[in-house]
Amino acid sequence: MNKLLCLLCLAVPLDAMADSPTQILAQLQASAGTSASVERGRQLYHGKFTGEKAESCATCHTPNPKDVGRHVRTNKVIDPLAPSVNAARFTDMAKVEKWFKRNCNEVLNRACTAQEKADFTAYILSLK
Amino acid sequence: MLSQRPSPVPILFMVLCAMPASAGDLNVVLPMPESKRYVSECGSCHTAYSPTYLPARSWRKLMLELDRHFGEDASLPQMERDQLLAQLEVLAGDTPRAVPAIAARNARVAVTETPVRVTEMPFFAFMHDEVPAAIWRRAKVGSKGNCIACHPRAEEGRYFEREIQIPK
Repeated sequence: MNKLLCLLCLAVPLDAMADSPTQILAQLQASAGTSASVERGRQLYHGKFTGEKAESCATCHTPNPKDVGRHVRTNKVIDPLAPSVNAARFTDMAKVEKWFKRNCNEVLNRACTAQEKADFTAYILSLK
Repeated sequence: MLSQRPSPVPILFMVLCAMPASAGDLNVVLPMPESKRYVSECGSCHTAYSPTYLPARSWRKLMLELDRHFGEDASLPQMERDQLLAQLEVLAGDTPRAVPAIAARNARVAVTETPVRVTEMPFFAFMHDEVPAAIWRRAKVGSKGNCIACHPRAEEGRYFEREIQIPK
């Protein structure tokens, strides 16, 4: 009985918290109101913008989102962005939104639109 | 009658133990905040430094100005910020929980100053004075604040000399 309770304790919060990357993409698409485009996401990821410290997503995350990146100022290692090589990515919507907020401001000098977030995510999830 | 004067031998031993050996090994695990959020939030962009490296006033300044954090907006929800700040303050370098050898060196910073860079503290300079400039420039090191590049377990408070791995 105790064992069963422990299992329940473990199972409930994990189940309640974790999203799968495809669920996250579905939520972002729902917010955008349209389907996402892998190609637009690719252009967004590799595009060059007006960010003073980082002009592109690839500046820190490297041209291949499956590779280990480095923070442009501190040089600290950034784990790969693609869920195909890093299972922790795109599993927590609050985290996803937090980093869109910060990094869109850093790179684009503005917030990303819901469409851009969905496109970006579709591109990253398409990398197998 | 027994002499009240303590024997110099154990005192000398204690002093030697407290002193960093050569360039130094403190042989202690530095205190880290209990909350895992400290490493997950602050550590996403830079090494999550042990609070013992800066005085409490520095942590207050850093945490209250997170929206202008070395040129970046690193702001946190207020409740989370306050929780992390409280954990930093209680372990800061000018508190009873500080690591004495670190606190002693860093006490050279005037109380009227509020340093915000761990790498500009006297203790950091003392410990790294033998590190050639070329090592800091290596691609995998790149900045003095990138502690974890050479101290792989820095975010557990472990800076032991035997665990140093300088990347090629």
